[in-house]
Amino acid sequence: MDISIATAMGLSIFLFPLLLFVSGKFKWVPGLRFKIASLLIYTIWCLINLILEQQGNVIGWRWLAGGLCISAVLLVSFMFWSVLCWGYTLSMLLCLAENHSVDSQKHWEDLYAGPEGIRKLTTNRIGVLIALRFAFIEKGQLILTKFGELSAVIIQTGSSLFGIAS
Amino acid sequence: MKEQIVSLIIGSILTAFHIVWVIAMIRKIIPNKFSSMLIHVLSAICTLSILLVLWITDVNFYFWLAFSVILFGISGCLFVFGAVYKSLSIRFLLMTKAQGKLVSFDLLDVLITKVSFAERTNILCNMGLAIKEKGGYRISKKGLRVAKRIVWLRKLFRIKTTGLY
Repeated sequence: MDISIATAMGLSIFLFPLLLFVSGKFKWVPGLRFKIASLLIYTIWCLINLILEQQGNVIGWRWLAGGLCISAVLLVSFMFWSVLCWGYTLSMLLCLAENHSVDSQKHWEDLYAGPEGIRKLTTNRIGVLIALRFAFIEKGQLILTKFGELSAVIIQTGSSLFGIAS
Repeated sequence: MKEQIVSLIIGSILTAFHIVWVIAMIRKIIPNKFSSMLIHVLSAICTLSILLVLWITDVNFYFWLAFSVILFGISGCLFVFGAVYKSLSIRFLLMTKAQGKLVSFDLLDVLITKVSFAERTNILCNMGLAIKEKGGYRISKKGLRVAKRIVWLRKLFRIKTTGLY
Protein backbone atom coordinates (compact mmCIF):
# COMPACT_ATOMS: atom_id res chain seq x y z
CA MET A 1 0.00 0.00 0.00
CA ASP A 2 1.18 3.51 -0.79
CA ILE A 3 2.73 5.08 2.34
CA SER A 4 0.91 8.42 1.97
CA ILE A 5 -2.50 6.75 1.52
CA ALA A 6 -1.77 4.29 4.33
CA THR A 7 -1.01 7.25 6.62
CA ALA A 8 -4.25 8.98 5.61
CA MET A 9 -6.32 5.84 6.22
CA GLY A 10 -4.53 5.02 9.47
CA LEU A 11 -5.00 8.52 10.86
CA SER A 12 -8.68 8.74 9.98
CA ILE A 13 -9.61 5.19 11.05
CA PHE A 14 -7.53 4.84 14.23
CA LEU A 15 -6.44 8.27 15.46
CA PHE A 16 -9.73 10.06 14.73
CA PRO A 17 -11.90 8.00 17.18
CA LEU A 18 -9.11 8.41 19.74
CA LEU A 19 -9.21 12.20 19.29
CA LEU A 20 -13.02 12.17 19.72
CA PHE A 21 -12.53 10.13 22.89
CA VAL A 22 -9.90 12.52 24.28
CA SER A 23 -11.97 15.60 23.33
CA GLY A 24 -14.62 14.32 25.77
CA LYS A 25 -12.39 15.55 28.59
CA PHE A 26 -13.10 19.15 27.53
CA LYS A 27 -16.43 20.90 27.95
CA TRP A 28 -17.06 21.20 24.21
CA VAL A 29 -20.32 20.48 22.41
CA PRO A 30 -20.28 17.36 20.18
CA GLY A 31 -20.30 19.37 16.92
CA LEU A 32 -17.23 21.36 17.95
CA ARG A 33 -15.47 18.20 19.13
CA PHE A 34 -15.98 16.66 15.70
CA LYS A 35 -14.76 19.78 13.89
CA ILE A 36 -11.59 20.06 16.02
CA ALA A 37 -10.78 16.35 15.67
CA SER A 38 -11.27 16.56 11.87
CA LEU A 39 -9.06 19.64 11.62
CA LEU A 40 -6.32 17.93 13.64
CA ILE A 41 -6.43 14.85 11.40
CA TYR A 42 -6.05 16.96 8.23
CA THR A 43 -3.24 18.99 9.83
CA ILE A 44 -1.29 15.97 11.08
CA TRP A 45 -1.64 14.26 7.70
CA CYS A 46 -0.45 17.38 5.85
CA LEU A 47 2.61 17.62 8.12
CA ILE A 48 3.47 13.94 7.64
CA ASN A 49 2.96 14.30 3.88
CA LEU A 50 5.29 17.32 3.78
CA ILE A 51 8.00 15.29 5.55
CA LEU A 52 7.48 12.40 3.13
CA GLU A 53 7.61 14.84 0.21
CA GLN A 54 10.98 16.19 1.38
CA GLN A 55 12.27 12.62 1.42
CA GLY A 56 10.98 12.24 -2.15
CA ASN A 57 8.27 9.73 -1.20
CA VAL A 58 5.22 11.78 -2.17
CA ILE A 59 4.21 12.76 -5.67
CA GLY A 60 1.50 15.32 -6.44
CA TRP A 61 -1.49 13.01 -6.92
CA ARG A 62 -1.03 11.49 -3.47
CA TRP A 63 -2.16 14.79 -1.92
CA LEU A 64 -5.49 14.47 -3.73
CA ALA A 65 -5.86 10.73 -3.07
CA GLY A 66 -5.02 10.99 0.64
CA GLY A 67 -7.32 14.00 1.10
CA LEU A 68 -10.18 12.13 -0.55
CA CYS A 69 -9.58 9.04 1.62
CA ILE A 70 -9.62 11.09 4.83
CA SER A 71 -12.75 12.98 3.73
CA ALA A 72 -14.51 9.70 2.88
CA VAL A 73 -13.81 8.20 6.32
CA LEU A 74 -14.80 11.46 8.07
CA LEU A 75 -18.12 11.61 6.16
CA VAL A 76 -19.06 8.12 7.32
CA SER A 77 -17.79 8.89 10.84
CA PHE A 78 -19.97 11.99 10.96
CA MET A 79 -23.03 9.88 10.13
CA PHE A 80 -22.32 7.60 13.12
CA TRP A 81 -21.41 10.54 15.37
CA SER A 82 -24.59 12.47 14.55
CA VAL A 83 -26.78 9.42 15.16
CA LEU A 84 -25.04 8.78 18.48
CA CYS A 85 -25.35 12.43 19.58
CA TRP A 86 -28.62 13.61 18.05
CA GLY A 87 -30.36 10.54 16.61
CA TYR A 88 -34.15 10.85 16.88
CA THR A 89 -35.04 7.14 16.83
CA LEU A 90 -32.05 6.32 19.02
CA SER A 91 -33.13 8.88 21.64
CA MET A 92 -36.65 7.45 21.59
CA LEU A 93 -35.23 3.98 22.27
CA LEU A 94 -33.06 5.26 25.13
CA CYS A 95 -36.07 7.05 26.60
CA LEU A 96 -38.17 3.87 26.48
CA ALA A 97 -35.30 1.80 27.92
CA GLU A 98 -34.99 4.23 30.83
CA ASN A 99 -38.72 4.07 31.62
CA HIS A 100 -39.23 0.40 30.58
CA SER A 101 -42.82 1.04 29.42
CA VAL A 102 -45.17 3.84 28.38
CA ASP A 103 -48.99 3.95 28.52
CA SER A 104 -49.48 5.51 25.09
CA GLN A 105 -47.63 7.21 22.27
CA LYS A 106 -48.48 10.58 23.84
CA HIS A 107 -46.92 9.42 27.12
CA TRP A 108 -43.77 8.40 25.21
CA GLU A 109 -43.70 11.79 23.45
CA ASP A 110 -43.97 13.60 26.80
CA LEU A 111 -41.23 11.51 28.42
CA TYR A 112 -39.03 12.06 25.38
CA ALA A 113 -39.51 15.79 24.92
CA GLY A 114 -40.34 16.86 28.48
CA PRO A 115 -43.11 19.23 29.64
CA GLU A 116 -42.95 21.31 26.43
CA GLY A 117 -44.09 18.25 24.47
CA ILE A 118 -43.19 17.35 20.92
CA ARG A 119 -43.17 21.07 19.95
CA LYS A 120 -39.74 21.21 21.62
CA LEU A 121 -38.39 18.86 18.95
CA THR A 122 -39.99 20.89 16.14
CA THR A 123 -38.44 24.11 17.50
CA ASN A 124 -35.08 22.39 17.91
CA ARG A 125 -34.95 21.08 14.33
CA ILE A 126 -36.19 24.41 12.95
CA GLY A 127 -33.15 25.89 14.71
CA VAL A 128 -30.96 23.83 12.35
CA LEU A 129 -32.66 25.35 9.28
CA ILE A 130 -32.18 28.84 10.69
CA ALA A 131 -28.53 28.21 11.63
CA LEU A 132 -27.88 27.03 8.05
CA ARG A 133 -29.65 30.16 6.73
CA PHE A 134 -32.27 28.06 4.97
CA ALA A 135 -35.10 29.88 6.74
CA PHE A 136 -36.08 32.55 9.25
CA ILE A 137 -39.00 33.06 11.62
CA GLU A 138 -41.51 35.89 11.29
CA LYS A 139 -44.78 36.17 13.23
CA GLY A 140 -44.63 32.54 14.37
CA GLN A 141 -44.16 31.24 10.84
CA LEU A 142 -41.21 29.59 9.20
CA ILE A 143 -40.23 31.38 5.99
CA LEU A 144 -37.70 30.10 3.47
CA THR A 145 -34.81 32.26 2.31
CA LYS A 146 -33.72 32.27 -1.37
CA PHE A 147 -30.89 29.92 -0.39
CA GLY A 148 -33.39 27.68 1.40
CA GLU A 149 -35.62 27.56 -1.68
CA LEU A 150 -32.72 26.60 -3.91
CA SER A 151 -31.58 23.96 -1.42
CA ALA A 152 -35.11 22.57 -1.21
CA VAL A 153 -35.18 22.12 -5.00
CA ILE A 154 -31.79 20.34 -4.96
CA ILE A 155 -32.75 18.13 -1.99
CA GLN A 156 -36.12 17.35 -3.58
CA THR A 157 -34.28 16.20 -6.71
CA GLY A 158 -31.99 14.03 -4.56
CA SER A 159 -34.98 12.53 -2.72
CA SER A 160 -36.78 11.83 -5.99
CA LEU A 161 -33.68 10.14 -7.43
CA PHE A 162 -33.59 7.77 -4.46
CA GLY A 163 -37.36 7.31 -4.73
CA ILE A 164 -37.95 8.75 -1.26
CA ALA A 165 -41.42 10.25 -0.86
CA SER A 166 -41.32 13.50 1.10
CA MET B 1 0.35 12.57 -16.19
CA LYS B 2 -1.54 10.28 -18.58
CA GLU B 3 -1.86 7.59 -15.89
CA GLN B 4 -3.24 10.14 -13.42
CA ILE B 5 -5.95 11.23 -15.84
CA VAL B 6 -6.80 7.61 -16.64
CA SER B 7 -7.04 6.90 -12.88
CA LEU B 8 -9.39 9.85 -12.35
CA ILE B 9 -11.56 8.77 -15.30
CA ILE B 10 -11.72 5.15 -14.07
CA GLY B 11 -12.56 6.37 -10.55
CA SER B 12 -15.28 8.70 -11.82
CA ILE B 13 -16.88 6.10 -14.11
CA LEU B 14 -16.95 3.46 -11.35
CA THR B 15 -18.38 6.00 -8.88
CA ALA B 16 -21.13 6.84 -11.39
CA PHE B 17 -21.73 3.08 -11.81
CA HIS B 18 -22.10 2.72 -8.01
CA ILE B 19 -24.56 5.63 -7.77
CA VAL B 20 -26.71 4.42 -10.69
CA TRP B 21 -26.67 0.86 -9.32
CA VAL B 22 -27.72 2.01 -5.81
CA ILE B 23 -30.53 4.18 -7.19
CA ALA B 24 -31.79 1.37 -9.45
CA MET B 25 -31.81 -1.07 -6.53
CA ILE B 26 -33.42 1.30 -4.01
CA ARG B 27 -36.09 2.34 -6.50
CA LYS B 28 -36.66 -1.38 -7.24
CA ILE B 29 -36.01 -0.83 -10.95
CA ILE B 30 -33.91 -3.95 -10.39
CA PRO B 31 -36.25 -6.17 -8.30
CA ASN B 32 -34.71 -7.09 -4.90
CA LYS B 33 -35.58 -7.53 -1.23
CA PHE B 34 -32.43 -5.97 0.26
CA SER B 35 -32.48 -3.16 2.82
CA SER B 36 -31.16 0.26 1.71
CA MET B 37 -28.01 -0.12 3.83
CA LEU B 38 -27.25 -3.56 2.40
CA ILE B 39 -27.71 -2.20 -1.13
CA HIS B 40 -25.06 0.47 -0.46
CA VAL B 41 -22.65 -2.10 0.98
CA LEU B 42 -23.16 -4.68 -1.79
CA SER B 43 -22.78 -2.08 -4.52
CA ALA B 44 -19.61 -0.72 -2.87
CA ILE B 45 -18.09 -4.23 -2.72
CA CYS B 46 -19.05 -4.81 -6.36
CA THR B 47 -17.56 -1.47 -7.52
CA LEU B 48 -14.28 -1.95 -5.62
CA SER B 49 -14.05 -5.51 -6.98
CA ILE B 50 -14.25 -4.19 -10.56
CA LEU B 51 -11.41 -1.78 -9.73
CA LEU B 52 -9.38 -4.66 -8.33
CA VAL B 53 -9.96 -6.71 -11.49
CA LEU B 54 -8.80 -3.77 -13.65
CA TRP B 55 -5.69 -3.48 -11.50
CA ILE B 56 -4.89 -7.19 -11.67
CA THR B 57 -5.37 -7.23 -15.45
CA ASP B 58 -2.52 -4.72 -15.80
CA VAL B 59 -4.48 -1.69 -17.00
CA ASN B 60 -2.02 1.19 -16.67
CA PHE B 61 -3.35 3.48 -13.91
CA TYR B 62 -2.66 4.52 -10.30
CA PHE B 63 -4.78 2.14 -8.23
CA TRP B 64 -4.82 4.27 -5.07
CA LEU B 65 -5.88 7.43 -6.89
CA ALA B 66 -8.86 5.67 -8.52
CA PHE B 67 -9.58 3.92 -5.19
CA SER B 68 -9.71 7.22 -3.30
CA VAL B 69 -12.10 8.79 -5.86
CA ILE B 70 -14.43 5.76 -5.57
CA LEU B 71 -14.19 5.66 -1.76
CA PHE B 72 -15.17 9.33 -1.57
CA GLY B 73 -18.02 8.76 -4.05
CA ILE B 74 -19.35 5.79 -2.09
CA SER B 75 -19.33 7.60 1.25
CA GLY B 76 -20.74 10.77 -0.35
CA CYS B 77 -23.61 8.77 -1.84
CA LEU B 78 -24.30 7.15 1.56
CA PHE B 79 -24.13 10.53 3.28
CA VAL B 80 -26.62 12.16 0.86
CA PHE B 81 -28.96 9.19 1.14
CA GLY B 82 -28.76 9.28 4.94
CA ALA B 83 -29.50 13.01 4.94
CA VAL B 84 -32.59 12.86 2.72
CA TYR B 85 -33.89 9.54 4.09
CA LYS B 86 -35.45 10.47 7.42
CA SER B 87 -34.06 13.86 8.46
CA LEU B 88 -36.70 15.92 10.25
CA SER B 89 -35.10 19.25 9.32
CA ILE B 90 -35.10 18.33 5.63
CA ARG B 91 -38.75 17.31 5.82
CA PHE B 92 -39.49 20.73 7.34
CA LEU B 93 -37.60 22.40 4.52
CA LEU B 94 -39.45 20.48 1.81
CA MET B 95 -42.83 20.96 3.50
CA THR B 96 -42.26 24.71 3.76
CA LYS B 97 -41.37 24.83 0.06
CA ALA B 98 -44.45 22.77 -0.81
CA GLN B 99 -46.66 25.10 1.25
CA GLY B 100 -45.51 28.15 -0.70
CA LYS B 101 -42.36 29.18 1.20
CA LEU B 102 -43.99 29.78 4.59
CA VAL B 103 -45.60 27.49 7.14
CA SER B 104 -46.77 27.65 10.76
CA PHE B 105 -45.11 25.69 13.57
CA ASP B 106 -48.47 24.03 14.34
CA LEU B 107 -48.68 22.60 10.85
CA LEU B 108 -45.11 21.25 11.07
CA ASP B 109 -45.98 19.73 14.48
CA VAL B 110 -49.05 17.93 13.16
CA LEU B 111 -47.91 16.99 9.68
CA ILE B 112 -44.31 16.05 10.33
CA THR B 113 -43.09 15.76 13.93
CA LYS B 114 -46.04 13.74 15.26
CA VAL B 115 -46.26 11.58 12.13
CA SER B 116 -42.52 11.04 12.26
CA PHE B 117 -42.71 9.99 15.92
CA ALA B 118 -45.39 7.41 15.03
CA GLU B 119 -43.27 6.15 12.10
CA ARG B 120 -40.30 5.67 14.38
CA THR B 121 -42.30 3.81 17.03
CA ASN B 122 -43.29 1.40 14.24
CA ILE B 123 -39.66 1.08 13.14
CA LEU B 124 -38.62 0.25 16.72
CA CYS B 125 -41.46 -2.32 16.98
CA ASN B 126 -40.61 -3.86 13.59
CA MET B 127 -36.96 -4.15 14.61
CA GLY B 128 -38.08 -6.01 17.74
CA LEU B 129 -36.66 -3.32 20.04
CA ALA B 130 -40.05 -2.24 21.42
CA ILE B 131 -43.29 -4.17 21.94
CA LYS B 132 -46.77 -2.70 21.48
CA GLU B 133 -49.26 -3.76 24.15
CA LYS B 134 -52.63 -2.45 25.37
CA GLY B 135 -52.26 0.87 23.62
CA GLY B 136 -48.85 1.44 25.17
CA TYR B 137 -45.32 0.24 24.48
CA ARG B 138 -42.64 -1.55 26.46
CA ILE B 139 -38.99 -2.20 25.79
CA SER B 140 -38.10 -5.72 24.64
CA LYS B 141 -35.10 -7.74 25.89
CA LYS B 142 -33.36 -7.06 22.58
CA GLY B 143 -34.18 -3.35 22.90
CA LEU B 144 -32.72 -3.24 26.39
CA ARG B 145 -29.56 -4.97 25.18
CA VAL B 146 -29.15 -2.52 22.27
CA ALA B 147 -29.90 0.47 24.51
CA LYS B 148 -27.25 -0.69 27.03
CA ARG B 149 -24.65 -0.88 24.25
CA ILE B 150 -25.57 2.60 23.02
CA VAL B 151 -25.41 4.02 26.55
CA TRP B 152 -21.98 2.37 26.99
CA LEU B 153 -20.76 3.93 23.73
CA ARG B 154 -22.13 7.35 24.68
CA LYS B 155 -20.43 7.12 28.09
CA LEU B 156 -17.17 6.05 26.46
CA PHE B 157 -17.18 9.16 24.24
CA ARG B 158 -18.68 11.30 27.03
CA ILE B 159 -21.70 12.31 24.97
CA LYS B 160 -24.26 14.02 27.17
CA THR B 161 -26.78 15.25 24.59
CA THR B 162 -30.45 14.35 24.83
CA GLY B 163 -31.13 13.95 21.13
CA LEU B 164 -31.62 17.68 20.67
CA TYR B 165 -29.11 19.98 18.97
